[in-house]
Amino acid sequence: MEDFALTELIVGGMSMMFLAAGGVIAFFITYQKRLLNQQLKHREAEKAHQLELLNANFQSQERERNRIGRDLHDEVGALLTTAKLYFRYLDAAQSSEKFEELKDKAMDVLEETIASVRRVSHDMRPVVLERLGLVDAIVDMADKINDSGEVKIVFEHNLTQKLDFEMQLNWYRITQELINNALKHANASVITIRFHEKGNTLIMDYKDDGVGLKNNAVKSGIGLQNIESRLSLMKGKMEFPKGESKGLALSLTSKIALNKTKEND
Amino acid sequence: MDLKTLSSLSIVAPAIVAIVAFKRLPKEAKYLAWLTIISAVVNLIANYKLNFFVNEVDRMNVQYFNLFAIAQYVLLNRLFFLILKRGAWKKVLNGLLVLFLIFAVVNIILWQPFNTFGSNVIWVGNISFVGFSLLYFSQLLSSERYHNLTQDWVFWLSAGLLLYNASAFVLFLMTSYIVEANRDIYYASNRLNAIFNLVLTGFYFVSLFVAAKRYKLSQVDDA
Repeated sequence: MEDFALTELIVGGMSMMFLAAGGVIAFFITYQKRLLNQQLKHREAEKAHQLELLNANFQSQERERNRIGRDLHDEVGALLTTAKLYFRYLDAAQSSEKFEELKDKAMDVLEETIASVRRVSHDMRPVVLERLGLVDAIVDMADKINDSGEVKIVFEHNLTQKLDFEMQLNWYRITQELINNALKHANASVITIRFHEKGNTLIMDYKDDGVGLKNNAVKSGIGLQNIESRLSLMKGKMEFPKGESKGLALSLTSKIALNKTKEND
Repeated sequence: MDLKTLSSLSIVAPAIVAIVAFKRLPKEAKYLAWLTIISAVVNLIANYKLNFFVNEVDRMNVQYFNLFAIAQYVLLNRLFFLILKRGAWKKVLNGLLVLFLIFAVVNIILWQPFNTFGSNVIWVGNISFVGFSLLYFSQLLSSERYHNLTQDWVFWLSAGLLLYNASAFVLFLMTSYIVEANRDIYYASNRLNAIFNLVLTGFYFVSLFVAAKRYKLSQVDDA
């Protein structure tokens, strides 16, 4: 009986231990498989997100091309057509008074055309940004909007470092996109923009008192995707701070890239 | 050929893989290669002596296993020393190696002389190998990256060591009781051990085969 118990103890113990070890290995394999599935899902989600950003980027480029095309066609094209008409009548003008009048008008139209071309080109690459830098460009943008008296933009910053121009351009476009969004879709009356540096990180806190994202449904829209796309270029991220009940509040961050050339000084 | 002899000589298969593919093996896997080669030699000699010598003294083969137990511990300890990334674990492995060698000498002097079966050294080794395997699994678990286990030779080695040593530990811990008990218990437990040993050599074989294919070692993040 004692021998039988010993046999049971040894053979049973060995078998149990073998099965327990098998269980550990089975658990480990299952865990690894689950990890693989999670990674695949994560990778697919990331891929889909990148595609969305790419799509938004294309749409944004297309929209910009359309706008430039429309500006050129509606403004510059129309003005040049008018100027052509004036020049045609210049030949036919009988009196010198009429000639002078038509010439002045043609010159005015050409001046207007030049201004129009300048505006289109400034929109493509903001001269104020190139000349004065990000802070003054945003101040300029805010001043122009504040002059309307309908919307108030509060802009604060503690930026001291000279940022890389591409980074400035990205932040300028992001600011532009947010303000455009607030004016076009959110019906905001007060917009607060704060730029501050924290170590090697640039932080932009944005807030407006508009209708927020729920009503205008732009959370997945092209505007915010453009912003995200620009942030991803700067290895940055966008967060929605909790506890903001009215309007839109965003916290955007990116690593600071300093200006290494004197080109834009 | 009975099950025990088959199990004992099965180590020849991975040893052949080790010899043929030795140059292609990564540095860490060379320890496993040596382990299988030494194990094959020991088992061949032990079986030869057991089967071809009539004289009781000449039939003695336990001293080969006693030496092998120590060599096996040193080789696997050094193998896992290279595989495990965490500094603290490496220190533990160094400490365990010193302690094990001291224990092996003390065991021979005080409890189990060299010409008797050194079961104490073997079951202490069994526990250690279970620990080494679990440390490797823990290292893989702490990594967030997926590892293709079928291409990870250390996984095959660790799985084999865990399966065999977890069960063999019980056998060698109870050796003194088994010797005193009747032959049925001895045969039953040894048959079971022979089966588990076949599993171990199977895993050694796959491990060396995978390592010989020059799959990269799993790059496990430092936890």
